[in-house]
Amino acid sequence: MTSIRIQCPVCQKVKVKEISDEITNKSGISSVLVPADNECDHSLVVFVDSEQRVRRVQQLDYAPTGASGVVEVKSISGMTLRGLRRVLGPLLTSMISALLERKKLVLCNDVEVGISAFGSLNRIFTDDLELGKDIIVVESCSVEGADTYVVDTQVPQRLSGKVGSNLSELVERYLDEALDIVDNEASIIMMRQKTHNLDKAAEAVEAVVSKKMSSREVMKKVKSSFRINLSLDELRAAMDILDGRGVVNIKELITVSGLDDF
Amino acid sequence: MVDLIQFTASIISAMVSIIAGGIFFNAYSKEKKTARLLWAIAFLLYAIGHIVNAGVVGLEIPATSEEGTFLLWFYVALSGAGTTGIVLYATVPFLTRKAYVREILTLLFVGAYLIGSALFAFVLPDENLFAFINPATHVQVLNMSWWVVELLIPASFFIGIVFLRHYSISKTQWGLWIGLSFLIYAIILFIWPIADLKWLFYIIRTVSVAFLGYGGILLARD
Repeated sequence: MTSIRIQCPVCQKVKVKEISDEITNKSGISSVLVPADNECDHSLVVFVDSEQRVRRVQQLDYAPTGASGVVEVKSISGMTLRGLRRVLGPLLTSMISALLERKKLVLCNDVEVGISAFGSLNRIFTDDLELGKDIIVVESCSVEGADTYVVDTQVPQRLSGKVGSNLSELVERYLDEALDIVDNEASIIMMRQKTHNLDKAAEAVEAVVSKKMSSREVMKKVKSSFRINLSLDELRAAMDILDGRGVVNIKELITVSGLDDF
Repeated sequence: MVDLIQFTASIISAMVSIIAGGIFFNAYSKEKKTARLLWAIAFLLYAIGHIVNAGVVGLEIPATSEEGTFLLWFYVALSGAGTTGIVLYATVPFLTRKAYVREILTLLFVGAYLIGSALFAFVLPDENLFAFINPATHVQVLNMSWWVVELLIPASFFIGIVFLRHYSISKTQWGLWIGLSFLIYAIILFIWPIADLKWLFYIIRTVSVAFLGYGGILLARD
């Protein structure tokens, strides 16, 4: 048995629990359920790596009754990327784009599809998405807001919210490339790499732009400061991401000409 | 007697075009962008066309003879439809994401150019209603020359304006030089069919191709 120290993200109380070596001997990160007890009222899912380090602690929305000790839990399994594309069609592109723009993604109506979609998206946006915060799965389709992208998963169709067209086009291309690979694991990893890089690119663009600049200047500065080689398509998508995140005037500050990619 | 001025100007034009093509090959080797490769090929075609023209002038083949007309048609097909067609094909995708626009625009230009020039050179008689812009003597080779100029002027203007607009937005110097090159070409094109002014056309054209080459050097450095 190995002892791990856990701090509850809700009440901040610290408790020490013992977990089976069988769990921590596994390669990669394992998730364990820590039920509520006398020290802390919250049931938690703790992600532990093979070095017995706690990598993440998350409150569990619905705790199983009767659990008393620390037990291993399986992560929510989602559909394959190909399956998700078939079920949601072009909406998948918009959903990934909305998450990149840090919009709240509401998946309503068919809860089963919503949970499965969360499982798959959570694998693309690993360590970033939280159910109930970034992605909300609900039966009622009444949730709306400026920073929300609402999808009826039963039809399926977009009910409200919008994402940048340049970003959508690039994500669509990424998805096509990823789905060219037969192996689902490789497809997901490829999408993870691509979306992660795009997210980093957007942060880099935000960091270098302070005054009116040409797109070529921005690309050069991003390359010299962050060693990120941006194409014009990626820059346009990064601008959509920043615009979606509410970065003021980003589209006015960067002047884009088609021939920048000549 | 060989028209030395036209012969020399044609050879110099061909050499400068080969250099310009080489510069775009170099720009392509720096960044593997298809448009740069297409531009390099386009200017090599321009050079080949001018070598053919230099051959016609050097061998004193009369332009109005059957052989001379065919060789001049071949020259304008390579240097006009070939070069400007490829440049249009490579440049339009930077202006619109609709892929079919490139195909339609290039097809319209190259089709009108090749069919029109072939009709004027080999099918239609000297005096015909379709050669409505031809202030000089109506011979087949001249009707053909005026026809290709009528098509090349708007196409070159279009390419020049596109690059100058890019310069106005981004302040990139290569946009200015390439834009000026095409604009100057468009402005002087109308004197190309005039035999007495060919020397002037070739001198200015050589300068404008040098502008293009300089633009290509700046592009490769950028």
